[in-house]
Amino acid sequence: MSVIIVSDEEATQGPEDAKWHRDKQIDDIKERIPDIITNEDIITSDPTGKKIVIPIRILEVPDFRHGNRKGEKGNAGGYGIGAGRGSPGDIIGREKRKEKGSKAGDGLSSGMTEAEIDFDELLISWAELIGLPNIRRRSDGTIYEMEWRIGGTTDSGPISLLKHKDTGAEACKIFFAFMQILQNETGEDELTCYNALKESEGGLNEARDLLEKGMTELKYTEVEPFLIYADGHLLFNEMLEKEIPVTTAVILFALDVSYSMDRDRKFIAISLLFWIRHLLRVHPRYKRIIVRCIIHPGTHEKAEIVSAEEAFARVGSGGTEIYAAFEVMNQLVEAEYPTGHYDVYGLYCSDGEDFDIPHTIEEIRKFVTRDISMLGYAEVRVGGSEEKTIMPELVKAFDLRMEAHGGISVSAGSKELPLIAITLHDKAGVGPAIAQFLQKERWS
Amino acid sequence: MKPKELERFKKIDRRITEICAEMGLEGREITFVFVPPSRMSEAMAYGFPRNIPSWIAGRDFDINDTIWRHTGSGIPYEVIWGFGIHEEPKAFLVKGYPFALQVLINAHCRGHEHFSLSNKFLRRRTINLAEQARLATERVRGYIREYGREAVGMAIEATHSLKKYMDPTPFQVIVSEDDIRTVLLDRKKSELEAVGRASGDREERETHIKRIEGELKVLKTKTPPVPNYNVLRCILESTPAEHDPYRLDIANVLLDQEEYLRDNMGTKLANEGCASYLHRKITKRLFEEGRISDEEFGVASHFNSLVMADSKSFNWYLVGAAFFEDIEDRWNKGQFGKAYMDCKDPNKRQTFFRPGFGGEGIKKVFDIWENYNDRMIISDPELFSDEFIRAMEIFIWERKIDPQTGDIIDVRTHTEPDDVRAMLAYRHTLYGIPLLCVMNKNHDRRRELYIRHDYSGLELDPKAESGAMEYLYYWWEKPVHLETREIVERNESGTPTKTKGIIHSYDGKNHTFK
Repeated sequence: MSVIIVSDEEATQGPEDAKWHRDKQIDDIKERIPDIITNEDIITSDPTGKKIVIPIRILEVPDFRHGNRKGEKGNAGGYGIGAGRGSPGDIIGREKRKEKGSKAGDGLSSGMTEAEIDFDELLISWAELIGLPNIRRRSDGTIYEMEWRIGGTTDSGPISLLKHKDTGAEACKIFFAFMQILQNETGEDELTCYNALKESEGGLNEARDLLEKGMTELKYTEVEPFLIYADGHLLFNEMLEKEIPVTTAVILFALDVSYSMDRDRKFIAISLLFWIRHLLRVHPRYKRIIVRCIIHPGTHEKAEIVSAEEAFARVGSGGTEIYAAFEVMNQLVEAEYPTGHYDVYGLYCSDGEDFDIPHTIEEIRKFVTRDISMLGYAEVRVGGSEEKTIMPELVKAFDLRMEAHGGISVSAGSKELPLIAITLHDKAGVGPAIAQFLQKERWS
Repeated sequence: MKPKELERFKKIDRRITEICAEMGLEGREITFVFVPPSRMSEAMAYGFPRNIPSWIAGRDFDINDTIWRHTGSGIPYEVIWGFGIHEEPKAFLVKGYPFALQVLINAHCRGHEHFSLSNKFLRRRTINLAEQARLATERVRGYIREYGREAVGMAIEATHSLKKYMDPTPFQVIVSEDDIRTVLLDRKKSELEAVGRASGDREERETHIKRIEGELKVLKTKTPPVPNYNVLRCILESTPAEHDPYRLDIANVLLDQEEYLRDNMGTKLANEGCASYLHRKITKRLFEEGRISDEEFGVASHFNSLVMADSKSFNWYLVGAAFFEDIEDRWNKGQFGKAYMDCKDPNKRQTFFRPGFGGEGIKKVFDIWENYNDRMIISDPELFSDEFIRAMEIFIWERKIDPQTGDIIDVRTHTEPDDVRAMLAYRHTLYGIPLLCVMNKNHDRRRELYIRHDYSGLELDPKAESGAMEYLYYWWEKPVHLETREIVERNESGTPTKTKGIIHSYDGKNHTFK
């Protein structure tokens, strides 16, 4: 007779080791991020707290296995045993010829599979890739940000943190203290005590012994203080942890929905907002993220505050007056989101067309001098169009320096100026644009 | 499983135990555990309920579990272990499967239990592997805490990569290097004495003696004295890694498991055939006794029929069960022995009958379970007969290049029973694993490691090879060399016609090829 047990215990070791495997795949995931982040299914859904399915390379352990050393003629030479109807000569399987330039043996024949990954896990991997500040989890699962600084003094630590000056000063004090002790205890003069201390290489007890026996010869003729390093008197810098207080981030997202902004351009703009919002959401600094969307439909039409869905759906008419959006952004900061209480991010997306550039520059200048965290101006130029845009004037007005990064051009000014202007041409530029916008060095 | 179903399962289980006893099957108490699918995915990935933590098993678990959660398929009906004579048999069944399937699996496991206890090749195993794995799991968790995940992971990877290269001699007994050397030295000394005593040309004798003395000198220090096909075991005997005991511990545990697995591979056809053959008989009996309904029997038969032939693969369950049914039928009819084997007329063979052999069929089946491994079965045309091969439509296919399109094509090539038996026997020797041996652990007198790949028509994948060489270096910590062959010319259909030898060396930094 058998023993029959019904167990509700779910797998534990498997998920733990699956995480181990996932950590090893993280480099592959990071390489795929540019493709993942342009997935429309993710952007048009709300994956917060959910898992998303991504293609991922299966890791394999290399071993000695049959294969083709040169690969010129594919993988002929294998064999197998099968079963079923047919006759000799029947073709029972076919694999299309490999494209020119590829060869067998590229990679470890590691196939692709689809894996589920926590959306937040993806965001954190990406944040690490971009170089966002330290993100760490407490054992209770909540997230806090650690900031390390060197400060204070302690009596132990790694040699790399030794406070040379302070330790030297302390060692000097010890010399004089020992000299005083020896003179008081033995009654000998300063030079004799110095000789004893010098002969004993700073050892107080050994110097006492020498003086007790009697110093017949004084090798040193004058007192030259030297450093005595005693245990417990080495001084080290202390590494101090500081937990950054959590606050609220406000993203003021402005979108040009005039006639010239077609669906592809808008999708790129919405993608920028989507990923910046979620990356800030997982950042430990912020307990809350507020997003306000502003659209400016066209010339002579007022800028409005709308929902993100409406921003994507709305189509304006006529030309573009960018300043209108920045006017609203400035009003919001003044009336509702003072920068003393909120971390304010501005993100403006347009195809760059503007009918009143000087006015726009003036409004942008007001915005960036309000002690905001960052303003990103993103110009989406699909198809490499050559129309005149606000970008050159923006660069000139704020003395921005242009660089190329991952297929996009980025213009940024001094570290004190929280402004970055980006030109991107397709959705492949979304990842690099976000990386530049959120790059750690740019944060104020 | 609902409480009523569970009670019913227990009752049927008791009846199955009785039926097994009536059939003369060996058996002990089996623990059946109904588990959630995630535990089954886990057991499939690790081989045991608890095993050494590794990203490799984690990967496999993740794949199995993801496929299951999205498709409802991809995990086995059962995972069983502990059928060695020093072990405690245990089986995981998946909660939520149809009742009839669970009954079938119960019967199937009895077949495995009987086979493992009766088969002489499996009976010799002495390690309780499940328990060893459980204890090793705790130790390895400690190693991870002490040495870090990276270091422990590396030891696991380096073992995983190399553990499968074993002596293909089925069910071999491991003999130590010293014992082998002693025997070979004795033989050489005897040869020397014989030559010394022999008459004949003096100069010739002296030359011969000198040669033998030279061979003796080499034999005294050559390590290993003969090529050793148990690659990792051979390396571990002299590895500098012994100063990191955790590495050796991990390697030894995983090697024990691999050797156990290899024994199972050598009897897979017979073992799965036994279990499938018995579960069919037992479920039929239960149906005849009214213990399972028409519908349930239909469900069980449906799952039986799911072991269908796939044109490119060899289905152990299908072929194994059919094989034993064929044996039982033929032996009951007296279709064996010299008279039957000498008869070459297929029509006469089909109707061949000798009276008085009724009941011999099941005896022969039991005999095969007890005394045969797969290679023995397959190589014997009296057992694995021409008629059976044709009836199962087993064939050999080869991978070639389509001369017109350049595509890689799999072509059915051989259907003749002799060819099929030869190929199956070969497959049951090497299982598609390249044959490697340790030739010298003191290559160039610099304690470098020299490995040879016994080329048999198939090259080694160069990129995977480089990775594996790095794992060899991980264990040996000195330069390692691999001798293999490269195909230089092929004919139109891709068959090799000319090769050249190459030596791949790795010194811890660079790979070189000569």
